[in-house]
Amino acid sequence: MRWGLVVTLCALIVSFAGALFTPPAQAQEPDHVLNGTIRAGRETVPDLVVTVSDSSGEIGTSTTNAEGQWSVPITDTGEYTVTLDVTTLPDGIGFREGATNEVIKDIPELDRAAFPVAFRLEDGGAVPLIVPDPEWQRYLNRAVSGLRVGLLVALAAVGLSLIYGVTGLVNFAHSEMVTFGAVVAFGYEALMPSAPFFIPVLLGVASGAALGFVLERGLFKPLRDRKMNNISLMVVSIGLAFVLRYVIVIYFGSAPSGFKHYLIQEAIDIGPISLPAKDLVIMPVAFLLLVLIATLLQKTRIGTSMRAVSDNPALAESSGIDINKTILAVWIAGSALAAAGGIFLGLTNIIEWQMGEKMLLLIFAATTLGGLGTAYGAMVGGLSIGFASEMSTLWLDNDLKFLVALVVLIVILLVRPQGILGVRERFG
Amino acid sequence: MSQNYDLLIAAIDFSKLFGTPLRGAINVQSAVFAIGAIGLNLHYGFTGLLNVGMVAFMAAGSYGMAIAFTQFGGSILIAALFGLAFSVVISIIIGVPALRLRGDYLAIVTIAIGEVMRISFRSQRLFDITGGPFGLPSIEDKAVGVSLADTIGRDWNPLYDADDPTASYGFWQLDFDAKTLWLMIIGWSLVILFTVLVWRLINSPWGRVVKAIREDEDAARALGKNVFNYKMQSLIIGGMIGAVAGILRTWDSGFVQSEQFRPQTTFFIWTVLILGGAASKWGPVLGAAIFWFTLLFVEEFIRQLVGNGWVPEWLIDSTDIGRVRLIMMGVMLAALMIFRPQGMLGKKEEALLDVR
Repeated sequence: MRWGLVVTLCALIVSFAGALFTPPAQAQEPDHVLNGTIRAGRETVPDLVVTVSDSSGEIGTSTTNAEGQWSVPITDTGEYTVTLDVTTLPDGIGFREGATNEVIKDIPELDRAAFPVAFRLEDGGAVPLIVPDPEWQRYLNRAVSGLRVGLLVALAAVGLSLIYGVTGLVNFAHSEMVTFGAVVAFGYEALMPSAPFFIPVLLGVASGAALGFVLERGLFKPLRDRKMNNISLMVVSIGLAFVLRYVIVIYFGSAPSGFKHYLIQEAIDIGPISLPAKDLVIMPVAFLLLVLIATLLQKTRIGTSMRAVSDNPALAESSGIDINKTILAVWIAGSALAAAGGIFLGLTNIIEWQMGEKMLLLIFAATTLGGLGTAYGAMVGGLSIGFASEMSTLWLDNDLKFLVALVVLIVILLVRPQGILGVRERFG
Repeated sequence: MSQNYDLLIAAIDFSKLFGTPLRGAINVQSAVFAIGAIGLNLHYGFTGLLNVGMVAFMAAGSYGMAIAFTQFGGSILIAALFGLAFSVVISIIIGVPALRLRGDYLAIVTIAIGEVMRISFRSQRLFDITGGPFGLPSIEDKAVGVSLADTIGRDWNPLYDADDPTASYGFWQLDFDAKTLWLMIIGWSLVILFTVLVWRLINSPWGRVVKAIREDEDAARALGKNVFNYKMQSLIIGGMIGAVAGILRTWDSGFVQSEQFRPQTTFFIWTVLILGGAASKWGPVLGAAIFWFTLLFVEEFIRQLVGNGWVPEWLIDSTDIGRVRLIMMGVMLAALMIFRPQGMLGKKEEALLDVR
């Protein structure tokens, strides 16, 4: 009976996924082309071989005619790689600085007959040919970006997991604590445009910590004192999430924004990896924060009491741990971490009122994957979810990465409900 | 000062101030939320299932119905059956991994499914079926050339008068066109039907087991009941009722679009249920009417205040009024849960559950 259900479920998921990933049948019309005219300076270049391939392999080649024109028919939307065969280039003609012989053309919709592709050649040939990104390099770059997203998800997830572990509350307002950090830091940045950037960041994190303090002392502690159970508190946190979210949209506005210090940045290359310079700061800082929280949990008295309370509250209390103090510390730390995650997220993407809400699913998936209530589990879960969802964009549409997170979530609940690092106990 | 006060009174349009909320309280929208809350009442109120993704079932109903109508055409009722079937599939996808675990896992999975369905429906890959981000603006069977709005509003509408298609019925602020009135009749009849149906179910042997599971799952298991099966049945039945709410909403609006299924819809339904009283018979119905009345009354009041310049710009301007509604919903949900978890009609001992 149970296996029957599991098999049915798997079949459903597979067919659902299959329906999603089958390209639309209507798009199979042959009257679309990728084309271009290849020039070096003002002269067109004949007899060059151009190859078009997509993720499944080569789909056509074309040789430029006397006017330098080439064209390759395509039948579907998607990402195409157009390669110019460098061995067919005449002597003395090379690429402009920064240009490659490989152009990636993304065609989201077949709304035109021809999609032009340009190669940037130059007469003179003094500029050396830049070798294009090979396949493994795209994977590497994705992996780095997955690591970055994973670190940010982990930052936010650790807070959620700590709060759950110590109080048993699934805090739906956690996503708003993420947005809050970013929005407040943005506000401070606008207030003091000449100050170095770390000051608004620190103020944003401090405001996040203050929010955690206010929520615990002003709302959740009084409610716990009224003997409200965790399910009712969860519903309260949902209400709180809506209040915070829409207060933010009223005063921040619905238009997305970005930190003024880091609006535009050139990508820099480290060996084969190309990434914005700010990521070089964000990733180590996020990593250090995670190490810091781990040290705090292992080495300090308050960290030990956090672990003790989440392990067994009654035993912890009877050994002289002040439960309320521990819970307060967890709220402050968790909220500050969420704010830090939000600020970093605002740095790498955009700041908007929905940024936390959009991330909530990834955060939940991460905490569940790692094991609800385990801080280290949330770190592992966050890194894995971030990594998996970013890597999936190599093959899937960008918005389907949430589907990946959900599938991971469902599979982990079926296979190992306590999560990667959770301790097996009776579940329902 | 007193002169200002008189001015304020004079500036308020009382007919609209009370008419608009009253109209909202009996409109199709209110029936939709009442039906959704009846489904949620079966989940949360009677079985103790922490479903925070009711919108997933509504989306399954709406999109299932709309897709069946556009792709296969013909009958609205067959299309609606397709929507119901889709909601059963969603129940199984949610239930198999999550129903065996603690209640908070179900909460996480349900909200996740709701969001993923919304994101998937708006995906470009499904453009030919769901219309991607644009949705299906007119749910139309292209082969035959009939649209859903025409079928429900004209062909299948006994109130429709071909000589006077724009005729409206009613008085004061409460006049409705033929299509709306027809859907209101369908909607509120369904509300009564489902209320009675759920009440009969709950007072059957099946219902007693389900309530026992809510109170103490281990005790029910110790008595040899297959808890998982009962929970799954409750999830499916409540989910189908939720799908009917979605279908009714799509009949009313005449289009589907992924933004209609944001998580806030779920929490509107939660507020309706908690306000009326979880685990009560008529709670969802009363909750829906009072919820919409209150919400629209405050919104209209703020609108008039802002319109007359009685509220400073920096505090709230006219674009924020729709957002104030959501803040109010959040405050209502939290405050009810804190101060009156049994709502208006519920019993306190039944409403304060520590769901496991």
